This record gives sequence, structure tokens and C-alpha cells, in this order.
Amino acid sequence: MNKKLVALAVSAIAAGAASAQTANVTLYGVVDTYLINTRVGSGWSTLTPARVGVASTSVSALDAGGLSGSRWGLRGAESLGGGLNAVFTLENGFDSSNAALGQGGLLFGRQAYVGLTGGFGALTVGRQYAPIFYTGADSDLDGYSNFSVVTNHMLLQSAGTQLRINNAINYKTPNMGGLTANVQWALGEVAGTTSGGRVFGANLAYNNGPINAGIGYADGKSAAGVSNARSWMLGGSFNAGVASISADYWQWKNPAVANTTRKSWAVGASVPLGAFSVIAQAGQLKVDGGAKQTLFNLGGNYTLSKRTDAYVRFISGSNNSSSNLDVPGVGGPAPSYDADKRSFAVGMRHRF
Amino acid sequence: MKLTKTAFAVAAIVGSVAASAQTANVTLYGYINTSIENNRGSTATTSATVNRMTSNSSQFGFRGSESLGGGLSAVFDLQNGFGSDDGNLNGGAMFGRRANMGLVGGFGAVKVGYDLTPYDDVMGLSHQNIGSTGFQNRNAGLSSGPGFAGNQLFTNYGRGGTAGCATDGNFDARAANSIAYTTPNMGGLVVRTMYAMVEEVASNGCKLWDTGAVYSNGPITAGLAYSLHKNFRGLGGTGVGMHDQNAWRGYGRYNFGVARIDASYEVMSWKVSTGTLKAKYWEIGAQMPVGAANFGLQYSQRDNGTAFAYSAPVGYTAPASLAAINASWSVGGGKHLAAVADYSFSKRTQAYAYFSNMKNETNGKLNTLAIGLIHRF
Repeated sequence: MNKKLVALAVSAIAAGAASAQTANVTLYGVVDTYLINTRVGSGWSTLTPARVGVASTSVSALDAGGLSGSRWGLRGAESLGGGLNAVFTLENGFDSSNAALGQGGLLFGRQAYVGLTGGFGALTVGRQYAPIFYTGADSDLDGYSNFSVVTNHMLLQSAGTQLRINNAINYKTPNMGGLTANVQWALGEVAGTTSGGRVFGANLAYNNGPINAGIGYADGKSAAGVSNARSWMLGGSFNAGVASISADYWQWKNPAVANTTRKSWAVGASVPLGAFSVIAQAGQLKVDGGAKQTLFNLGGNYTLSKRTDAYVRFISGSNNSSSNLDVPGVGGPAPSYDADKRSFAVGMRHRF
Repeated sequence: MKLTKTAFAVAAIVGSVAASAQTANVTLYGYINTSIENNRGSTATTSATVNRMTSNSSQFGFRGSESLGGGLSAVFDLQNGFGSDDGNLNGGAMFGRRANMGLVGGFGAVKVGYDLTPYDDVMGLSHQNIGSTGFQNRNAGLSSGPGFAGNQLFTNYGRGGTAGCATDGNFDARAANSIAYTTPNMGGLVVRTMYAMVEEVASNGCKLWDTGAVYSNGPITAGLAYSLHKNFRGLGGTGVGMHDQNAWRGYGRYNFGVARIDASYEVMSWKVSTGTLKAKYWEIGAQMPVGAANFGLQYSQRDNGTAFAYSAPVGYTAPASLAAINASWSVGGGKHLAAVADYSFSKRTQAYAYFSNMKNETNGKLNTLAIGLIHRF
């Protein structure tokens, strides 16, 4: 086998359309794969009318996207003059443990948008992150890993309106001394109504030096135009050099159904120790009706290079007697009532 | 989340044979076209509005060539289609827009694989500056192009030219398992002909033979295409019976400099158990450049299929639902008017807006107002 490295020419699609500007397209990606053992303790499959016991179980698996979802993508920008730029991002998610397409089989399931940026800010259209997503990102020292307390509370308990939004029109303000805001409207594409199925989101973020903080809001409507997923989040982190600390509060409910409120808080700290860094997070999730889950995430990263690192994580989710809340990020069997779920993971991430 | 990246290198695997002096020349390319539309559809008694975001032929691909010496080159083109509004993989096919390879030389080009039919070479001449985008596209709904999607104001007659002989479709499409020959450019004239064994299954012998000629010289552009489908399975995707279909299309354009005008005429025929269905279509259009902008106007019309013959012929099996076909046929005709404006920020980036009005013969209407952005790389 004879391999040859050549420069990849990136050119305009139409013959003769090549302009003086060369297309500036970046191919990038992450491959992140980990081995995980998950043990779900004994509990109860039903509480009433009679308690039915469930034995403990455990599973080992090779999974993908531990610290960062495995992905590859294309992105680019073209200067249009006068400070105006055309930008795009097409980002595929895949499972590096079994090669399947991610996000339910979408090709560019992580992001697919095109837009214009300039002095006015950025106007982008397509499949994009919800504004509230950025609030969580500013509050999560574990960077939305599968093991993160923030991820397991906010993104995975009710992802629909808080993660990636189809048919979204997003306006982002310019950076005003660290302050930015997003306003997003996603078309519901339901006949006969402009509100049916729509998702609205907004956030305000402050990112300046050691401080990353923000507030975010998301509201989704059913096809009938009734709000059925509304959430807000307040959080941030502070990097003191020797350590970073974080805290957030998140709340979600379906306004159309009584007693559906979920509330969570999380705190975290990370300490860099040369090539090592140590992370610890703790938090609690409460659901109307008395269910309560306490979640811990402890671990460390070892940086092999700027592009490659290895990691270990221990995650513990403890349910109270009326809770069977899962820790969805780690996969494996869901716990029964009163059962705890504990996972140990070791993995490696490579970026290109 | 990292946001910086450097130049992009690709490793070409040249194979076990020793690499020659030529380097692999691979191009990554793409096209993103996303629009925001307000669609108002109505019949004689009801109406509904849909606001939506739409991806219009958004794609990325790899193409390359290798010089084999003596003017001969090996070429390939792998083109993916995706949803720039929701990230979907179009049709579940990785390279669902094009996947071909072939040889190019002084003799012309021979390409095999999955590709657009030559009928589309002539169809594509009708597109205005923003290409085949949404409902402004005069082919939408009326001509043999994909029609109206779920709105069903006009019905597509015919079969699929996509990888399958039974799907609802049209004469302007892609064919699987195809082999195509393109002549060299002969003083502005290029002819391409394609033969496709579309499905390659024992239960039917459906195949397609498509030929298109395009002449471009100075201000004149002209095209003529003929498409022949053998043993395709009926109308409306019905799986019963095998039918022959054909269509031809002529196109002419003259560019005066200040503006260009063009026109097309098309006749489509489908043989079914009850005779031959025939539909005629014509269109006219004009487009005027003003600085970095273009303004276009299009009008097209398809007849309502009065040539439908009910006399039972010999040798064809009735499609599963003749009633459904007749119902479709009765709303087959229509008119389409579109006004388009686009502005080019650069050769790679355009913004556009259009208004489109379609009307069928049973008082179905679809009015669309849209804005959009196109970016190429």
C-alpha cells in the first residue's frame, strides 16, 4: 500500500466560478471512545399497590463521545467585504464504537447551518444549538461530557428544546465587552399556524477573562400551539488559576401538564496539575412528586498532546425511595425505584 | 469545542501498484441553499398557511481526476445530499446525488454509476440565476420536475428516474446503474446519451435510455432531449403492470446582454392499460442583470391531459387503481408564475427572494413568498 499526501484543493462548485478568494474550508473532527462498566443496584420496579423487587445488574460496554461527541465536520468563512462574512458549519456526529450515524441517523446531525456575520452580529439559519445550550456550556467544567452532572440534568432529561433545533433562525449580537445574546426562532412547519411546533430560545452570556456566566431560556410548543416544554437556566464558572469553580440552577416544566416541574442544581470544581487535571461535580435533581436524585461525577484527564487526551470518570446517581431517575449520559440499564447507578469509565479523545 | 484549524490534507490511497509521478487531485466542494418560506395553499373551499425552512439541493462532494497520459484521465464524482435545515441525510443514501467514475479523453467521456440523466442537462437550462430553488423553479409541479411535494395541487405523472422504477417521479431525475457517453465539444454542441438498467431485479426489466443535446455559442443556447423508459411500473407508483413512457423537450435561449429570454416545450407520454396519457408543457422566461443583482420572471403551463384515451389497448395490465389515476389526471394541468430577485455578495455567496404562484385546473392554488441564502465552497 502506497500512501501519498497531497494538498486538498477546495474549489467553488461551478466551473469558471473560481474567484480571487480561495475557499477557506476546514475539515475537523473528534474521535472519542471509552470503555465503561455500569452497575445498577437493586430496587423496586413498582411501588404501589405492592413493591416488586428488582435485582442488581451490571453491564460493560464500549461507547463513544465520552468527553466530546465523536464527530467530523466542514466549516468555512468567506469575506464578502465591508466586514461581512458568509459562514457555514456542517457537522456530522457518529458513534466511534460501532460506526453508526449519530443523532438518530442524520448526516449532519450535530450542526448544519449557513449565515452571515458582520458588525451587526450573526444571522444563521438551519440546525443549530439552542441559546440555553450556551448557558449550560458556561456552567459545565466537564464540557458537556457524557458523565457531566450538567449534561445529565439539563441536556438529557429533556433535550427537545435545549440542545439542537431544526429550522432555526438565530440572531447573535456582536460581543459587547464580553456580553453577547442570542435570540432564536425555529419554525414549526405546521400548516395553518405560525406558532404550532415552534421553538423559541434566548440567552445572555458574559464571557470575559476568568468569568463565563449566563442565563438562558427555551420554550417549545406542540403542533397545536400549546407550550409543552419550558425551561430556564442560570449558571457560570470562575477560573481562579489554581482552580475553577462552577454553579448552576436549572428548571424545566411542561406548562400544559400539572406537576411536571424538574429542578436541578450543580456545583463543580476542577484543578489543573500540569498535564493532569482533576474534576469533581455534584448536583441534585428533583421532580414534582418527590423523586430526588443525587449525582456525583469525579475524574481526571491526562493530556498527551494538544490534540489527544485520556480520561477516567466515576459517576454515581443515587435515587431516593420514590425516584427511578436515570443517568442517561452513561447508557446501560435504567435504575428502578430506590436504586443507585454507578459507572466507571476510561477513555481517550483525539481531535483533528 | 475548538475553533481553530489549519490547512487540510488528504491521503490518497493509490493502490498496491507503484505510484506514478502524477499526484492525486481531489476536490472537496459544497453548496448550501437554505430558504425561509411562507406558503399559502388553498382549494375552492379551504386554505392553509405553512411557514417553513427548506433546504434546496444542499450538497457536498468529492471529485477528482488522474491523468493517465495520452490525454486520457480517470475521473470520479461523489456527491452527497443533505438537509441544511435539519441535517438529514437525503434519501438515506450517502452519495445520493451522484456517484460515478469514468474515463475522459479526446473521444469524449464515458461514465458509469449513479448520475443525472441527459434529460436534466436540457431541463437545467431553464433554471434562473439561483438554480433549482424551491417553488420559484418553473419545473416545480408543472413540468417533469419534482412537483409540489406534499401539497398535491398538481400530480406528477409517471415513474421514478431515481433508483427505482415504481416511485412517483418524473423524466428529470437520476438513474442508477447507468452508463453514459458524452461527446467532445463540437463547435458548441455536446451530446450525451445514457443507458440505465435501473433496478436490476428479475421481476421487471425496467430500463431507461436518455439522450440530450446542448448547443451553446455566443448569445445562443439551445437544447433537445429525448427520454425513453421501458417497462416502468405504472403511474402513481403502482406496482402492477409494466409500461413504456417517453418524453421530449426542446429549449432555446437568446442573450441580448441587457437581458436574456428563453422558452421550452415538452411532451410527455405514458402508456397504461387504458391507452396513452399525454401531457404538454411550455414555459417562457426572462432574466435581467442589474449590477450584482438579477431580476427574473417565469411563466409556465401544463395542459390538463385532454389527450387521455380511454379505449382499452392490448398488452398492458391495468394499474392497481385506475380511479386514482383518473382522479390525478383530472387535476393534472396548471399554471405557474414566478418573480425572482437575487443579489450576489460574491461568486460564492448569494441572497435571493422570490414570489411564486401556482394554480391548477380545479382551483387549487399555492402562493409562496421566500427569502434565502446560497453559499458555495
